[in-house]
Amino acid sequence: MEALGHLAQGFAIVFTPTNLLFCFLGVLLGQAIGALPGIGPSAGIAILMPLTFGGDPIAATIMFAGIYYGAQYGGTITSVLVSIPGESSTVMTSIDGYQMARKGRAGAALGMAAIGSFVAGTLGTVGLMLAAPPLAQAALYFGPPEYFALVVMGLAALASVSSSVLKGLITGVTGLLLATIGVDPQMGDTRFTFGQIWLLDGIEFLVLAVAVFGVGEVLATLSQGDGPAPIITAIRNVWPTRKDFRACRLPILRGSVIGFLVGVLPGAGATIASFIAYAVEKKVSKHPERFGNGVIEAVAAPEAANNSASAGAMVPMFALGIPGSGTTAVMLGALIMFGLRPGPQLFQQHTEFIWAIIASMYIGNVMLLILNLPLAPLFAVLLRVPYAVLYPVILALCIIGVYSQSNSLDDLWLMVVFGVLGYFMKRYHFPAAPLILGLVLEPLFENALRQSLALSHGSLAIFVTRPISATLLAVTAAVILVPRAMRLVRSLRAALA
Amino acid sequence: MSWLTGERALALALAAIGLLFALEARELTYMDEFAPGAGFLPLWLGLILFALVVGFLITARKPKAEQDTLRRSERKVVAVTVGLVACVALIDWVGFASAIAAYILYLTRWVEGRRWGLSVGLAATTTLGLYLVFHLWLGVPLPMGPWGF
Repeated sequence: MEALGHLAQGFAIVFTPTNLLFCFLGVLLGQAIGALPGIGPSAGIAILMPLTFGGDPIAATIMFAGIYYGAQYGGTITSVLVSIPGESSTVMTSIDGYQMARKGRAGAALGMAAIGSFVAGTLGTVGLMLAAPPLAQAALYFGPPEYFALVVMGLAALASVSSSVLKGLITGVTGLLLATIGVDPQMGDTRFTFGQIWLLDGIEFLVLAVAVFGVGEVLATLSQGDGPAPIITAIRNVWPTRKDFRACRLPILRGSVIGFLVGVLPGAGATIASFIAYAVEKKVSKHPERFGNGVIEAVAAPEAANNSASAGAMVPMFALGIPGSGTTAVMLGALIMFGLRPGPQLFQQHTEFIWAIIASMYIGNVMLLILNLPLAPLFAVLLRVPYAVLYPVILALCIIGVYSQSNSLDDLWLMVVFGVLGYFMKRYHFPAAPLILGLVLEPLFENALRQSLALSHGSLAIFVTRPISATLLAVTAAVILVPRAMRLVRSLRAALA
Repeated sequence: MSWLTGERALALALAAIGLLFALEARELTYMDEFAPGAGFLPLWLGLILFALVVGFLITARKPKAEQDTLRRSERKVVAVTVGLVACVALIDWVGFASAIAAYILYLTRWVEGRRWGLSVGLAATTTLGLYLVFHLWLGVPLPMGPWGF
């Protein structure tokens, strides 16, 4: 009942012209960003962040959340029409969605994806509403060792779902290391400024996020070539048939539950959720052989999962202050820039903020359903915008966005350097999300580590003698070591056979 | 194929950063009574980063040969990056608006080979839009050129 009262308060805050406008802008931009190649929700949020400086944090966060889940809807359009996933989380959708488009059923695929996304997004938001407050309540009992273990687990989890765990850990530690530049938060010592006064403030999160997700992503997209993708079919009959609805009811529900549960896990996120949902549907289907040839359930389930996962990923970010994905790491950085510290205290000190965001997600999902059913053909037009025209505008936005943050040309030079680093990271499959997460979480990580060691008089045993931190560290070790051990066992068995 | 591929070079560059930070951290306080000092975490992070890269280099598989198409498109990446460097360098001299407009014109006309009309139009409208939003609406003090904008 208490949650419903808070939710009503949240709706009262969202139902103001400004907040509704920001919600609409967020989902509209998210939809566009999801559909456009070469720019993801992380870059979109990072580039737009300077526009919100000095503004209302609630309105800005409503917009950022809208971009995040709106991008999941938008990515579907490219997956279905041109078989190029706008987002990695829509890879599975492209398999059967594109086959449906080839059979002239692009409209039904997009329509069912929108309906599935709406149902899952709404159910995911209910899950967020129910799961986050008790988790935040439990986290009130966390001390420095538990927070240290949580950050370690968050970084390790994000690294473990990368193409290579070692590469993920390398970028995560690099992010932590870069964050130590500037003034030491506890003793006031200057660290690693190499005589440059402008480095006293450290490396701003926005500079790194825009450089890696914006400039680096543009350069990486250019390096892959940008031939025009032909749209193979017109979008007609967006409203699915009764038979389609019957076929998709359970897959949407299963996708929603899987998506939310996977999304809550640090590091897992929407992409893995959509993979699992697809695999589960294939497993339970009476006709698994049809999967891959244009089955509507194979579009509905992963779409439901990726939307539900984006709501689930906000649970650890809001309740613990530990983001589970690259985009939520960027959102966390945005909240910190607004002077808000996500975590259990946020639920106690800024109740209205949390519940306004949750309420806005219900409204945003309704907006997206309306935008997607009748207006899907309009968004498909975005696919005809040549990348050659798009990327100069994205780069100009990156430049002015970084400059406006601190009116400093030095930050622009940093953006160039990290943009090139981001390009090479993308090219050689070094994941960027742990880098950003490391930079964002380093202050919490370092304070927790130093406070813990001060409490224990320098003994590392404090991390393994307290049950919660010991459990978290054990889970971290398992996440890293178990898959490797299993691979080793398999290869040994194969060698002996 | 030589051992030093791009992937390994990137890993080695990150290892070098780790070593540099670890060496610099030795100048800072390691332990202050029982509490770690300012150099404690960076020293360990630098060493861990170095160790992770060594582990990666030992276990990394032999990379696949890169295709020619990647090499061709790399020229565009270099052109865009060189333009970006020139744009940032020019901002102080010619002002924000002129540098951004010149960069967009360079990208669309010369790097992408689009028509003059489209290139000039895109450069002008994007620059004007950014100037209106960031300078006039949000009040960001953009650097001005000798011609007053």
